[in-house]
Amino acid sequence: MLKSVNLSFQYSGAPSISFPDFTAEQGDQWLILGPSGSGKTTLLHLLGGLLSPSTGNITLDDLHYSAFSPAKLDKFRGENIGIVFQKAHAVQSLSVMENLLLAQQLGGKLLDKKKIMNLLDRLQIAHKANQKPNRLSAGEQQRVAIARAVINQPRLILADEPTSALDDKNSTEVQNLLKESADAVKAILLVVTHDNRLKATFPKQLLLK
Amino acid sequence: MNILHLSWKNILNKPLTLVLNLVLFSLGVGLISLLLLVNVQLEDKFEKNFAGIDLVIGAKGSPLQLILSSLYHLDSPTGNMPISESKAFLNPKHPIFKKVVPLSLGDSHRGYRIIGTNASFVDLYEAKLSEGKLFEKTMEVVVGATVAENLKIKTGDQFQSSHGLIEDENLVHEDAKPFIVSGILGKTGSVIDQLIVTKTQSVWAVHDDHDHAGETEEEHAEHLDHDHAEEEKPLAAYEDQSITSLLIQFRGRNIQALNMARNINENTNFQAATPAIEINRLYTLLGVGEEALKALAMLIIFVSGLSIFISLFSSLRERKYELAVMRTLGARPGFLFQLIVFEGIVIAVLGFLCGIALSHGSMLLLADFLEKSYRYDFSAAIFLKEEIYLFGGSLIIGIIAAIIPAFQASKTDIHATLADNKG
Repeated sequence: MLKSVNLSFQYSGAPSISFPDFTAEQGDQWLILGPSGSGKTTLLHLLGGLLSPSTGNITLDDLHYSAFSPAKLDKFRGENIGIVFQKAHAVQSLSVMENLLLAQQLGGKLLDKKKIMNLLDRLQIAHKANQKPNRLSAGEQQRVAIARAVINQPRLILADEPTSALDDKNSTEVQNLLKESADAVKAILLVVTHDNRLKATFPKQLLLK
Repeated sequence: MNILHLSWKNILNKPLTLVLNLVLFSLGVGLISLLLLVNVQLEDKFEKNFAGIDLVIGAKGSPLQLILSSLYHLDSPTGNMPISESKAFLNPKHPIFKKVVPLSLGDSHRGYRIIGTNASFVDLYEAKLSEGKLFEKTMEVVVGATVAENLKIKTGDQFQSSHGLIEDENLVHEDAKPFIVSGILGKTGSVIDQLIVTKTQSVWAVHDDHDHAGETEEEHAEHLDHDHAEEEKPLAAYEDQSITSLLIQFRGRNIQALNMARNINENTNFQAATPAIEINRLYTLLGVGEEALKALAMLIIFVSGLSIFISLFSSLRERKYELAVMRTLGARPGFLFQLIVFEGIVIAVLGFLCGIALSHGSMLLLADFLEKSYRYDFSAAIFLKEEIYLFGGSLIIGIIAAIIPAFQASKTDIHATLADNKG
């Protein structure tokens, strides 16, 4: 269970942004909507442990991780949170397979090529396992990003505009794969977007002002 | 998938940058290593060839030339010393000279110098016979190890010498008596390996024969017998002959001995040169060039360090998103720091290895050239402890070049980097 209470963040020299309290049960899938500047990405980075909040706290399964020390937070993030960005930003010098092995290692998990191949197969990019990321199409790169976010079976999956760089066909596919993958590992999925194509498929939505 | 592996993959991902860095680094390291190799071996050769000689006496001219020609067998001799005028030096009861070794130079066989001297010359270099026996009669020679190896000479072989010190078929003493190989010397690592050694009288005999070219066979035979009879005479008795130089060892290093060189230079028609002084002068001359090359090598290494720094630094800009994403996957700032430092180290180690390969490879080519032109054998297969220091230095340069980019990488602001990337 993810719980955000009384959360706010202040950039230096700017007014504080307050976020509505919310609670997400395990397996929930939420869409977080809002216009540009409403703090969607800031919220996602706070939830992902990439930023520390000015006030309030965030707990995942009662662990108050927003107050962790940087080292503890890095470890917690690697083990429990998977993040998908607008672009994959995979390590260019490594193949798709090696990128996922790196994710397993950084997350403190055992290296398991078979598990990676199964996942890549589900995401329909198994045949690209030994290719460098820059040889892949945008849709395929986004699948790699999904694979990287779910490979360590996180409790929480965050996605920041995962489909806004994709065409309609790929957008739908990536959206479905994201939801399926989150379902498969029973993770909470939070998607931040202004992409209206996603609205229809997420019954739970949070609107930021 | 450890950090080193990832560093390695990152370096390989930019092959052109890698090649540029390796070329620069290996040029710098290679040049320094080559200088060390040449220097150490040259000094070693000079050291070994000192052979305990305190003084060299010869005809007037350049003292360095006298030393180079008589001790190192590199330059041409300065001229001749008539025995009639050098008798005083040849006195076995000389109060200052313990050992006097006469040298007669000027002839060669297929580019290898023939030295007219006596058995004490072989003792100077502590050379041992590997086969046969030492020369006893006129025209018998012993052959240095390298000469025997390169010319495939065996005991009992005969050859005719050439006039002068270079290989020239037109200068062969065709009408002179042939030399007979009586023995082969074992390898010493000193210049004697490159020499053919015989009695002083043999060298004279070759040139005397020219004067007696009109003799009949019978007269010639008689002449040979005549030579045999004369062989037992001490060198000082051949008043009408000349030698090239004398290698001297002192009985002791007293004031008289130290003044000897000045006395000879001031009061005789000859010159006396001290090997240590002349060789130091030579080192000083060579040293200028060596210093210049060293400075150049240092400059190249500095530039290669700078090139590693720039390439790592600019790669950070390209890789800032993937570095940030690695942080979101759980990588600690220390992980990114090590990653970049390892990249610097791996380039430095590869550059060092290429540089060592380069220097030893060029030494291999250079050794061939040096042996052909100077009759000195150099080795490409020796490794010096200085090369370990060079390795340490390379590591330090790799680390220094990487440390600022590594620090920069470890400071990656995940939030700012990733929030900023809104296409």
